[in-house]
Amino acid sequence: MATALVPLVIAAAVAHEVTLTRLELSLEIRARKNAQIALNLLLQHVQRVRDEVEAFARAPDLIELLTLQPSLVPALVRERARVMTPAVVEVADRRGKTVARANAPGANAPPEKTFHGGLALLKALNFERYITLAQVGKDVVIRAAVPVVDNEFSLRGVVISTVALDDDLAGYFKGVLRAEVAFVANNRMVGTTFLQRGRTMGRAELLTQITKALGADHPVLSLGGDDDGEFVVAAIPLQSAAGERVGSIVVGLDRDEFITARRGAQRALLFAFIVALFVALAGATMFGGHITVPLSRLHRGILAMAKGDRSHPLDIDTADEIGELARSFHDMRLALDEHERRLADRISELSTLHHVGRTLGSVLELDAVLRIVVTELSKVLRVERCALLTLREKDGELLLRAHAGLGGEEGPPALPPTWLALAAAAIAEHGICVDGRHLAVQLETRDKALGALVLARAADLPEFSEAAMHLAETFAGQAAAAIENAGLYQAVRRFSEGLEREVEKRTAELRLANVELERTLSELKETQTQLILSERLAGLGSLVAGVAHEVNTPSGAIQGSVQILPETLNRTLVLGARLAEQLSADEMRRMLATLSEARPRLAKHGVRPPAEVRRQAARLQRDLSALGIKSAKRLAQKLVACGAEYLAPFVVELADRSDPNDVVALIENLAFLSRGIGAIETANKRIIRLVKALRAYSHADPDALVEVEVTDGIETTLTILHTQLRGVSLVRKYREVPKILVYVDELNQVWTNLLHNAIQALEGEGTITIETFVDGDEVGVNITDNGPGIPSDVLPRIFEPHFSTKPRGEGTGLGLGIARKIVEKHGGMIAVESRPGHTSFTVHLTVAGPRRDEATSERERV
Amino acid sequence: MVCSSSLVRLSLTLLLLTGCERKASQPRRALVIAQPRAVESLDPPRNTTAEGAQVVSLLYEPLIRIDGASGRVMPGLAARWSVAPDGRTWTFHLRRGVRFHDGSPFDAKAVVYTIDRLRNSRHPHYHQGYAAWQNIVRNITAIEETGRFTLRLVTKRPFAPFLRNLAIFPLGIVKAQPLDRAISKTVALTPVGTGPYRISSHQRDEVILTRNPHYWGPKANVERLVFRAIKERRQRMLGLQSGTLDVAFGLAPADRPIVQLHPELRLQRGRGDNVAYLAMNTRRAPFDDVRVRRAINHAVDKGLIVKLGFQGLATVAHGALPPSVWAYTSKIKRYSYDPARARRLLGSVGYDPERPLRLYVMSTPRPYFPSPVLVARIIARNLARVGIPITLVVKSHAEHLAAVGRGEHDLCLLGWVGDNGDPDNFLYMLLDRDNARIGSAQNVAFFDHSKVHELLIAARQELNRAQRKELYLRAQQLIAEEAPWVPLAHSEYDVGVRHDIRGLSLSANGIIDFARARF
Ligand SMILES: Nc1ncnc2c1ncn2[C@@H]1O[C@H](COP(=O)(O)OP(=O)(O)OP(=O)(O)O)[C@@H](O)[C@H]1O
Ligand SMILES: [Mg+2]
Repeated sequence: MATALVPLVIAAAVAHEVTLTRLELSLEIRARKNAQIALNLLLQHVQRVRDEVEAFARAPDLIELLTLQPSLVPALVRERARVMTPAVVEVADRRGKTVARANAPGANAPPEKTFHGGLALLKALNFERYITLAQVGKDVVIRAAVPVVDNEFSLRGVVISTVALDDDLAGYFKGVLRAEVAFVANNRMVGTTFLQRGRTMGRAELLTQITKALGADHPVLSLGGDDDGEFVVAAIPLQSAAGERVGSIVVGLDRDEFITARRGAQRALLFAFIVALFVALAGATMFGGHITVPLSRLHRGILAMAKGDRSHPLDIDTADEIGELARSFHDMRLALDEHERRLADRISELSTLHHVGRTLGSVLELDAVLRIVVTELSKVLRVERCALLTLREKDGELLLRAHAGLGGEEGPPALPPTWLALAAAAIAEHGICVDGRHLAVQLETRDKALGALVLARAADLPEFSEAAMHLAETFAGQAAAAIENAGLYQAVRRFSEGLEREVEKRTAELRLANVELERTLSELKETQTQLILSERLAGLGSLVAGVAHEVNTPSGAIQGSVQILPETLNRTLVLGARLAEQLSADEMRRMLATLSEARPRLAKHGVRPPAEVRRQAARLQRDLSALGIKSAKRLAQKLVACGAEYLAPFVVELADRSDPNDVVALIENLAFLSRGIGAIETANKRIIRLVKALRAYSHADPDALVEVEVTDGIETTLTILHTQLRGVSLVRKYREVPKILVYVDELNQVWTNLLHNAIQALEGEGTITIETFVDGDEVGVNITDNGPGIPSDVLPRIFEPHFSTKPRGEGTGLGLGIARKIVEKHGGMIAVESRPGHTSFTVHLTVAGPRRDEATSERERV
Repeated sequence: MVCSSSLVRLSLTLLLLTGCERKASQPRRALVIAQPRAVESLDPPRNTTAEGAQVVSLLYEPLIRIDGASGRVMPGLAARWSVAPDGRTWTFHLRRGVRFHDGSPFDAKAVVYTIDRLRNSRHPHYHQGYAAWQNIVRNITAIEETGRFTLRLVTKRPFAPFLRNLAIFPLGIVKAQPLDRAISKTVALTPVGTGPYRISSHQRDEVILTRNPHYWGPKANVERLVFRAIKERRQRMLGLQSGTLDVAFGLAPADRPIVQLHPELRLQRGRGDNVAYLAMNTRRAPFDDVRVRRAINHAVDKGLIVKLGFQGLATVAHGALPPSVWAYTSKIKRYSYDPARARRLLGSVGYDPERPLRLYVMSTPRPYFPSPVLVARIIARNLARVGIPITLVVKSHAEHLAAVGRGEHDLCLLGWVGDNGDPDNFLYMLLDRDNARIGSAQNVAFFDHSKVHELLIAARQELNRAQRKELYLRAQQLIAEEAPWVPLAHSEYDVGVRHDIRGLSLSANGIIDFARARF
């Protein structure tokens, strides 16, 4: 008997060891990871300090006072220091003599003497922007020094900011990391949060303990008293810009969590050892590594994120659902990061472009168009004054057509003489010309110069950055295209008005005029390609408005969930731990299995009408009280509310060994958690899809023929039109069709135009059916709506450019013309069939794609 | 029992530990490298930028190699060579057993094809983009296959920089294509090479290379190289910090300290054989007058430019040659920063600006110009102070190159990274009249001086190093007198790298041999 037990004892011992080692190890790994994050936080902080100093050094009032009235500098510095990261801010004149020095509230001053002759000062006096981590006296500081350079590039002085790595900064890091933090240098503890826990300990002793712990195999730091706790610590060295070691940053993770988990694990093992060797092993590993740790990591990640720290890594690599949750959470975070950055930049640019593009598309009144161009552009580029000049064709003179900020309510505004020269330069250069805070960019279409935009920034703003130059250029190109359209349109209209009078005169003249008209019309046709461009721009614009909204919605969902999740997680963990005390390992395992099985169902549960909840709860309450469960009413209500009534037998089963209130609360929390995470997942997927769609729609390489699934483009377009599709039901009849060779972005416009027309025709209710099919070596797409249909007298004209039955401002009448043009360019054709309640557009595309020569000749004209 | 239990315990613990270990250091197989602009082409001679040079030199190999550390001439695809006593007839013995990426064998035919295609504008596979490099092969009068692996090249006259010119990246050997047909577009854009890496995919902003498993020499360590064009400097820096990039070119001076403070990143510093300069278009007024050019030389504060625009990581230049090139001399006329004198000089000429002059500058950082627009702004101020109003014309690097090559500028900023350490590669390329052809000019000052031309040509034909040096000395003195440029700086430059990537070194031509990279 005794010998038979030997393997089991070994097994238990091993399993025990494995579990503990695993827990301990994962805690250590996490501590190291946290130290890494702390380092990244510190570097972020360094950059922030530098950016602040640079902004201050560029401030026009500082430059001016340093030159003219140094005695007023101290007041300025004091005022500025108040809004900066707690730091000691010093300003020296061009010879390095301190002019002012101010402590931001809460900043500890390093000793005065160390400042003079500091390396940072020397570097900055030599025009170098310098930043480092350094030991100053007994402190470790972030030190940034930036030269103050005036418009003439002469040195005016130096700004130096010094931020100590002290208790306060450690506290700030602790807030983000949820871990204790210490900065150690020169055998001294310069800043720490550990002391708030280890109240009985002094700095010196704490340092000794930390050093000892870090030297050990398993670095555990004990702060003494029970309350003070034990920590697993990790350290990362800090270095100066010259690569010298200046100290280290130490992070400590509370072992409480570990101890709780260990207690659970020990209990589990006690039973498992009797059951079987392998079960024990599996159970222990699962218990130790796969649930507690990942959950708490997820918890931490969410916490960090709620605090706005997206750099917090979440490495949970388990194959179960928690792992999956974590991964989807992680993906969401990446997508959000990426997205937020791009969107913030793009949206303001695009919405302006949109605004202009849309108006250009519909208004076609040249002067209105030009006014919009200048006002919008001044807004995006933070320009004080802006003028749009056009070239008079007959003599090449530049005329002021529109302006912003030039004054002149009465009579023509005064155009600074240098502006004309700069504008002329930009036209001659086919590009951007910069003269201090003045920038000119030409307006041109098809190699014909139309004029130029001149922008001027106020003297207290920085000169134009490269990004601003780039934006001005893009904008000008688009605007020019539209201006030309507007001009042509007016020419035609003027002409046809005149024509009527002419008719009454002489036929001979009419014939002549007809030739003229034809010429103008053919010219208009010539610019069709140009119109396509502007239409595409208009399309993009309306997208952005939609997208901004669409992103807000899922972001809101995420934000909502993220705020509550940490607390719920906390509660769940506490309940889990409490139940682990009450239940046997086997029961515990069963409970976890049941719950993890239930999770997807709980996640999907929606809100039910109150009446139904009441009815079901009443029924469940009867069942529960019959089984002798106390407070059956409350439990029943809770279970029903979160859609978990089917788990009631399970609650009953555990009722004699555990508190049903706890079990139900756990279920409730889990349901809540699952729903929250489900919401995040959905929102996340939605954001990713949007970003993908937006990118696919607008960033496709316009010159590349790409082999695609025809439905990809349709789906992209649908995603983008999503908001407008409300009330419309979509029926997709996609068949297996071969891939086709297309210019992706252009073909997307075909789908956009067709779908947009259908949506407009349906006016908020009806059905759109999209069907794909194969027809010989062609792929067909059929888009049908059950709207009012196209009257037979209108039908023959719908493909004509500028033909529209929609009110002015709503339709340009270009949509179908463009669609046909693009389809034909792809070597395909487009057909229409319509009767009331059934309008159907069919697009045929050849699998082989556009014929090369056709495609290129078209390209060249664009 | 105790004994056996602790044994099992031990071994299991070990197992777990090693398990963790392996996971932590999973082999990384790709390097992601960010460059500030896109590669121009994968066809070697269509490139003139550092970005292009970097990528094509991993794909194609020239006959000759310049050793990165010593600057010496080494065998490349040619194993040996000799020159006849006339100094004009060269025989090359090619390396055997080398295969192109498609498996076909490398032989003399490919070399003939590569050189012919470049030097002969009527070659069926010539491309107009080759024009900038034609002069490095122009004086080859005959190429002949004398065996499957031997080859004879004859130059018009003895030609000193001959071997070193064969080592420049546009002469990376490509596989011969049948001449009777027009070359297909794909082949023209991505010829087949022999290098340690081969093309895996090429998009406008991303080129992916994979290791050539059949490479004849020591095989590369890293499986894949991803070259990404990232225009925004902040994006490059973020990528480096967050670990999505392994290497970033084009670091702004302001980003260097952050790399230094990050224990997982380091700066790979390179001594550049380079020069950054302000060129004056000598074909136009007012710069057709040498006195104006000298005045400009006195007006520009190079010391300030080096401090502010290079953050100190450069030395002030006085001539075209960096001190590391053997023909460098300090015995040339130097122009001190002296605005008063500049003003006097301009006054004596009677120069009166009727229009602002146009200073062309690229918006893309270059290895020799970390912040070009800032430098241009400083120069604009300097010149305004002596009474010359300036308008900046800012263009992307590609457009800038095209515009200044056509001679549209009054003044322009440009620089040069030496390809092969030979003085000819600077002086002849950048300041000889042969390279001042409108359209494909490398000599963007359009400096045309017959005496300088004579000296540079004579130096090309002089095989004796000491006498050659003497010729270059005189050429440099004349150039300094004539002042077609304001030479600005010779700079070192930094590439940001993850600390665990080893084996990188930045050679003088600004190229990193990523085939030697390892983790
Ligand atoms: N699905 C449809 N149902 C009913 N009428 C349609 C439908 N599609 C197009 N039309 C008619 O064809 C006309 C021309 O359409 P087109 O797309 O060219 O221009 P638009 O929609 O008026 O303007 P825009 O496309 O610029 O918004 C429309 O004004 C409308 O009368
Ligand atoms: Mg329409």
